[in-house]
Amino acid sequence: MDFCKKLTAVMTVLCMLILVLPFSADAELTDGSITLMCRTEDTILAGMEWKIYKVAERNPYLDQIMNAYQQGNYAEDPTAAKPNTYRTVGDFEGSPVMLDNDKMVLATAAVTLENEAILRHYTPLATAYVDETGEVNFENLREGLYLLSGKRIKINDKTYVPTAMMVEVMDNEEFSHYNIDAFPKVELRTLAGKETVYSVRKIWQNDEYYLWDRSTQIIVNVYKDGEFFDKAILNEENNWTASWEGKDDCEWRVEEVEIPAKYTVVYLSDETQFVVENTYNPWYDSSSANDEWGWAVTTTTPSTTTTAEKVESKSTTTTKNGGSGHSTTAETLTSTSSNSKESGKLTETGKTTTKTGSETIPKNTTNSNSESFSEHSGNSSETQTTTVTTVTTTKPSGNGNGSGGNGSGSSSNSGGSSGNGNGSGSNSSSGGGFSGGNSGKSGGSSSGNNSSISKLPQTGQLWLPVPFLALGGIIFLMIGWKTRRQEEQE
Amino acid sequence: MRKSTIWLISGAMLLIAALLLIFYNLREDRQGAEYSEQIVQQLKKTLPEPESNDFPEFPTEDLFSRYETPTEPLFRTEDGEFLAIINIPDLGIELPVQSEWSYPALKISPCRYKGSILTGDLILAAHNYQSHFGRIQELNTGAEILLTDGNGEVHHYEVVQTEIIPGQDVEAMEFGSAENWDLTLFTCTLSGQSRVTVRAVEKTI
Repeated sequence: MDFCKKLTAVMTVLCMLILVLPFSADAELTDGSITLMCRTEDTILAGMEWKIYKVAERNPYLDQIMNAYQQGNYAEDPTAAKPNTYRTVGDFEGSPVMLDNDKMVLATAAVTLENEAILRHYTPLATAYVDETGEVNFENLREGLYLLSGKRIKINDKTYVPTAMMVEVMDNEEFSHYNIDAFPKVELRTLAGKETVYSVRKIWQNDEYYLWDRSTQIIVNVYKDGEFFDKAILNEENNWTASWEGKDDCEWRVEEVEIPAKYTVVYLSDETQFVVENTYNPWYDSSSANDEWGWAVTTTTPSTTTTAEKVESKSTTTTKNGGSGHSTTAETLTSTSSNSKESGKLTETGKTTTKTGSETIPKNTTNSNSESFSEHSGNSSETQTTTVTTVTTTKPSGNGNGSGGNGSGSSSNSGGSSGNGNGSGSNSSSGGGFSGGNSGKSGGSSSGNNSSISKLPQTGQLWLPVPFLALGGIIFLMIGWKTRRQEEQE
Repeated sequence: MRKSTIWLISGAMLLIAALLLIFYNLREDRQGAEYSEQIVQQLKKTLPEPESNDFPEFPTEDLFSRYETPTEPLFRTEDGEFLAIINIPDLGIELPVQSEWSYPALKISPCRYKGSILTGDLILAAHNYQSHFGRIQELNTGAEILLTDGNGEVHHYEVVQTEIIPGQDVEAMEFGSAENWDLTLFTCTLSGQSRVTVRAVEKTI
C-alpha cells in the first residue's frame, strides 16, 4: 500500500509537472522581433550600426498607484515615485524619465535614454548592422519597451544621423507575439570638420508655482564622441546658457550631473544647440527621489582639466555617512589656468564640491585639443538645499564676446519668456560665444510710424486733382478762346 | 498782354499739370509693380526647397526659440525684413509684404500696418496702385487670399466682408465691424478720404 501511495504521489507530481512545464516554457518563449527599415528610394544605409536596449516593462503597479493617489495615501506608497506607464529595468532602472503611451513623450525619452546609455557605456542586448536591403533585424525579444540607438554613418560625403526610437514588444490576448517593422528617423548632414559654436541651455518646465524646488544652479557635463570634454555651470546669471567651440564632425552630447528632486529630464538637440529640460512633476516624492530615481546616486564628477594649459590638483576622500548608510564623497578640485589670455576657455579656481549619495566616479578623459568651453556668468557662489555645493568660478578677463545678456524672466521661465528683447550682452569681460538674449519678438507689433497717428496712413495717389485740373484747364481755354474772339471782333 | 492770352496760357498750364500728374501716378504705379516683382523673386529664392527622396536635411531651427515667445518667420534680405508674400488670385497680384510700414516703404509694396499672422489680427496697408491694392474693392465674398511666410508656410484666407472706413476712424479699422477676421487689407479710395477695407478669415486646409 505504501508503495502504491508513493507511486501515486510520484505520478501526481509528474502529472503536475507535465501540465505546468509547457506553460512555463511558453511564458519564457519569446519570438518577438523588430525590423528597422533604413532606406529611401535613393539611399540604403547599409552598414549603419544599431544597438538595442531593453528599457522598461509595463508597470504592473500603475493601477495600484493611481488608486493610492486618489485615496490620499500616495505619499506612503513606495512605488508612488514611478507613476509611469512603464517601469524602467536593468541599467535604466531609476532613470528620471517620463515614460507613458504618448508618442511624443516616448520619442523624447528615447533620445534622453540613448544619451544615458552611451555616456554610461551600458551593454546593449544586441548590436546589428543594416544589410544591403536596408534592413536590420532584432529577434527573440521578450515583452517590453526597447530603445533602438543608431550610429551615424558617412556615405559619399554625406553623414546620415539616426534618431533613437522606442519600440514596444507586446504579448496580449489578441497577439501572441509581435513582429514589428519600424522606420527610424534619419537625417542628413554635411559635416566638414569646421569649428562650430555649440550652446546648451537649461529649461525649467511646469514649476512656476514651485520655484523653491528649483536648484539655484546646475552642472552640465559636455561629452565629445562619448568622452568627457568639459563642464558648464548654468544659473540665472548666465541665463542658464553656456557655449563652447568644437569641430562639427564630432558627436557632442550633454548630461546634467544631478537631476533636481521632483524633476524629470529630457535632452533635446539640433545641429549646434542642446537643451536640458527639467520638468517638475508632483508625482515624485522629494524624500525618496535620490533613492528611487537613482540618477543622483550615480553622478559623474564634474572635474578634470580640458586643456594642456591648465594645471590641476585633485584630492578625493570617501567617508561613510552613518545615518543613511550612503557613502559620502567629498571632493576638492582646484584648477588654474596658466594662460589667462586664452579667451573663451573655462577657468576655475578653488572649487569645492561635496555630494551626498554613493557616487560612482568614472575616470574622465583629459582632452588636449583645440575645442574650448565657455560660460557667461561672472562669479557665483551658491549653496543648494538638496546637495551641498559651493562653487566659485572666475571668468577670464579679456576679449569675451557678450555675457548671458539679460536674465530677465528666467526665474519664472515655464517654457516661455527668457531672453526677451535686448540681445546684446554688455559684459565684455566674460568669455563665451553665446550672447544670451535673443532678438526678441519682431512681429506682432506696428512700426514706430503709427505709434502716434490719429488717422490711417494715406495710401492714395494724387488722382483727385486730375479731373479738376483738366476741367479747369478746359474752362480756361474756352474762356480764353471766347475772349480772343471778342477782342478780335472789337 | 491781352486778357485772352492770360486765359489761354492758364488753361494750357492746368491741362499740362493734369497730364503731368497722370504721368507721375502711372510712373509711380509702374515702379511699385517693378519693385514688388523684383522683391518677390528675391524672397522666393529664400524659401525652403521642395523635399527630395533622400533623407531630410538635419533641422536647422533655433532649438532655444521653442522656449521663447514665438516670433514670426520673416524673410530677411539685404533690402530689409519682409513679413510675407501676398497672393490674390482673383486680382492676379503677387506682392511682398514689408514687416513695418512707412511712406517710402508703401511706395515699394504693401506693408504691415498692425498685428500678426500668429495672433490673427494682421492688417495690411498698400497704395491704391493698380498693381498693389488699387482693385481690392473688386474682391467678392469667398475670394481667396494667400500669405506665404518666411518658413514657406502658406496661410489661406477667405474674404468675408468689404467696407469703406473713413480715414480718421482708426478704431473701426483696428477693431473692425466684422465680428471675426484674421486678415484685413486696406487702401485709399480715389479721393483719399476713406479706406477700402477687405476683411478675411483664415481657412484650415
